[in-house]
Amino acid sequence: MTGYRHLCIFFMAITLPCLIVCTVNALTPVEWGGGTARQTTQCNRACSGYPSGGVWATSEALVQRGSAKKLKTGRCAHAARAVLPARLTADQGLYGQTIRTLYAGASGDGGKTIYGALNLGLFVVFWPGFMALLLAVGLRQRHVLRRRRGRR
Amino acid sequence: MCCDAAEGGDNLLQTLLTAIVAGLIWVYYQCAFFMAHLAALLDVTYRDTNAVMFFILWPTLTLGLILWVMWNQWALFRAQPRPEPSSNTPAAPS
Repeated sequence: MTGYRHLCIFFMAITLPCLIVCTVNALTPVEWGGGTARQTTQCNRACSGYPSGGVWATSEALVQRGSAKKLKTGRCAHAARAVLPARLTADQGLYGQTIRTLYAGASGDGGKTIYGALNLGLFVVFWPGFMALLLAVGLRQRHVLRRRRGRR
Repeated sequence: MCCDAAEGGDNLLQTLLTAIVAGLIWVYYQCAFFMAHLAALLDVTYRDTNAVMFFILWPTLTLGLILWVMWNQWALFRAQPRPEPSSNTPAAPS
């Protein structure tokens, strides 16, 4: 029974964030964040550097030419609101340093491709995968612990 | 004929690779859109939501998970069944 419970917790921990992301993306009004044209006051999809040619065209360009520089819409040029300290969000702060680190080691078109690949690898594959692994290991440990304690 | 088949295989491989890359990019941009939409909803900037997510929330959650796994490992070590100490001593003559 506990094994089933832990499986349910794991499944929920994986699907709940996906559900939240899909809901927020689906419910946000287009004029608020859906467009890809740059807005002066508010952030929208253009700030994420969404490829103007779409996902498939970008992937084809990456696979065939190894670069998709011209398809990008750019990155966020808005100044951070005074919500967090500048040493976190400023260009000279941790935010800028992180982007420079991701760009480091390459220049020109190659730099952008490596930056994109690092972004994909780190934030879509390795870090979420590592967390899923930790969660699975932790739940397995709880399962074994319950069984051992129940045996006493 | 052979070259057509090889070209067809190459095209299939390229399409498959493109599909995998497209899937990864799609997931990445769904997450990036989420950050941009969240910024618009909370009236802050994309930069702010990114900073909160990647410098505060996500590392805290990862660290919490690591500590939880380590704690569980310690609890498992303590709950390990140990052999009875009397099992090695010979039985006393009655």
